[in-house]
Amino acid sequence: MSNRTAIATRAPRFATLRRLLSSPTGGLASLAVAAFVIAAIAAPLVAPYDPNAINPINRMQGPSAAHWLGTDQLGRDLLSRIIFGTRTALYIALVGTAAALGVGMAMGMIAGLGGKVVDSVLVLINDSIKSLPLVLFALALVTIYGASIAALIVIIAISMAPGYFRVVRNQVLVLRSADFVIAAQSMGASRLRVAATHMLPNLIGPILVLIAMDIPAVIGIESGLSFLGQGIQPPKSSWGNMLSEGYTYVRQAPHIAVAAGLPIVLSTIAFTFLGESLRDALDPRRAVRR
Amino acid sequence: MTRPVLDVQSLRVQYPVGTLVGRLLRRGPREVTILPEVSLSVPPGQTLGLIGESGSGKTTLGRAAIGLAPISGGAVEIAGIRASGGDPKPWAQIRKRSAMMFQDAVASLDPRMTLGQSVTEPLAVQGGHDGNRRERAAELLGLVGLAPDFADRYPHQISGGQARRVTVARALALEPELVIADEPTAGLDLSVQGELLNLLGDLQHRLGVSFLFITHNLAVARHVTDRIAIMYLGRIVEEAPTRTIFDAPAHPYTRALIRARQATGSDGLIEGEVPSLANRPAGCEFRTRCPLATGLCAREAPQLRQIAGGHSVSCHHADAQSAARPKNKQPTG
Repeated sequence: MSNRTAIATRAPRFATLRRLLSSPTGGLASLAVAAFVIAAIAAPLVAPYDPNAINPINRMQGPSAAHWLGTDQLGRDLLSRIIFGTRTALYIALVGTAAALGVGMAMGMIAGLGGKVVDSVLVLINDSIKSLPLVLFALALVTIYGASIAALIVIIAISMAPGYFRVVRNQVLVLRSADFVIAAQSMGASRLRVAATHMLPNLIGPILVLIAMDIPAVIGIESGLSFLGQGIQPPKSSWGNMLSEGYTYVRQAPHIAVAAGLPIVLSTIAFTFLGESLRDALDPRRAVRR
Repeated sequence: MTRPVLDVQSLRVQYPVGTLVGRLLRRGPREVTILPEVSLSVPPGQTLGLIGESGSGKTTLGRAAIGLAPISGGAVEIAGIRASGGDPKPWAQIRKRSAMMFQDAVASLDPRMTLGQSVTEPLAVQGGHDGNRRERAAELLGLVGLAPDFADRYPHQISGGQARRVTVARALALEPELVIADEPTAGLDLSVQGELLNLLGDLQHRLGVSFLFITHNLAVARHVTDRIAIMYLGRIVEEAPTRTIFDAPAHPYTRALIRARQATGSDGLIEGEVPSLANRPAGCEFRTRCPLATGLCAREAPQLRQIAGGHSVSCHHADAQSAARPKNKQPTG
């Protein structure tokens, strides 16, 4: 580690972002994710048609200049429905992941910082949740409480929280005996100060990566349940219920199923690559090497 | 006599062991005793070397002195503030008046904080000194011979020796009366070691700070300490002025340590393994490795007693040894 490398990397926060964008996969993935986010936020501006406007004369048309991805069995514009579906998908992914993160992180902090008994109980709870078969659990909840966005978010929060719990707890356990944490205690820092200034900043990296990796899974849950008719209810568009409708007409008009499957595949790839690039970019050893 | 800066009084440290179920069923030992009962003191402006093999409890003693270990008996007095057991208030006072340096300097700096933030963290923690923190950071870095622009760097961007200097600067931030330095020369090459020791000596001279200097390195200890305490299995077995320790060591363990340092072959090394803390030998705990061990040593644990002015030792046979006054090289049986 020479002095020269020390001067070259001055501001690690921006350096992380720069490293992320400078790698080909990281750059492409960030671009794709940004496109999805813009489509979701600006859906009414971006979508060429009203996603729910029925046009029976134009039903099940293939891609054309007027309808880039064609129309569905009711003559609705598929591209517009996908764009509005992005809104649904990202909204659920965002709120669901945020809820899972909040619950998982709180439990992880308590388990990591608390005593042995509290830790054991929380680990038991989270391992139990993880062992539930997700689809059956989700279907059971929907059967009892009915299909709604709120139900979807609750399902996602419960099923994803153990992932965050585990990462946060393990990281806190490692940090708890880290020298710089003991050093802070030796200066008389309170528990709160240690948690806020030394633990949280060192938790953010691994959590960001996990979020990026989890979003495709959450989108998958929403799409899957919507495909089974237990998620987003028509006429509101979702990638999952579009795929389900397209599946019904797959012999007459295969382009409907293809169009609905496309964003699911693309978003999964984009978020997964973003997560992987983020993990590489956040790795301090890589920071030194450059 | 002036009041010591650090006064450790019959300190006892035990760590809980075993699984939750085992503890509930009351099976097996529930704790392991790291420090059975340790007393030592550091006079103002002086440096006490705490010496022992790895696992002897040196680091634990250093941490326990500021309440960072589970204390189950005894008390600590730093700068006149007495703390014992679980009451956090006196410990908070003590941590304000003392500072700690860790064995692994780089690891003791938060990787996400700039060195400037790290150096002034004690000020941020204690709330006082709200003036210009950047200025104070530059001042502290200057004290240890680092340029002010180090304040904007991160721990992974500096060398081990520089990281060590940063921890020295941090330790001095609150102008403490006592610095507990745990292996401050570990992992440094000889020239950097020398620089650091000179820096510490210089700072002590200028600021009048006392050091508890924890190390296993006798050469380093000889260079910087005024007094030396030798630790074995969590007990002080000998304590004396540094010169006496090297010229007339009284405890067979001290003698073996000094011989091991001088030995070219294997003849100087101490035979046998360090006994497990969970399974301490009865009587004198060094007898399993001691060339002088007799029946008395197995029956009765020796007490720390004074054999000369300022020279204490815990060995049944220490007198016979000092009488012989061997000059560091005496063939053992």
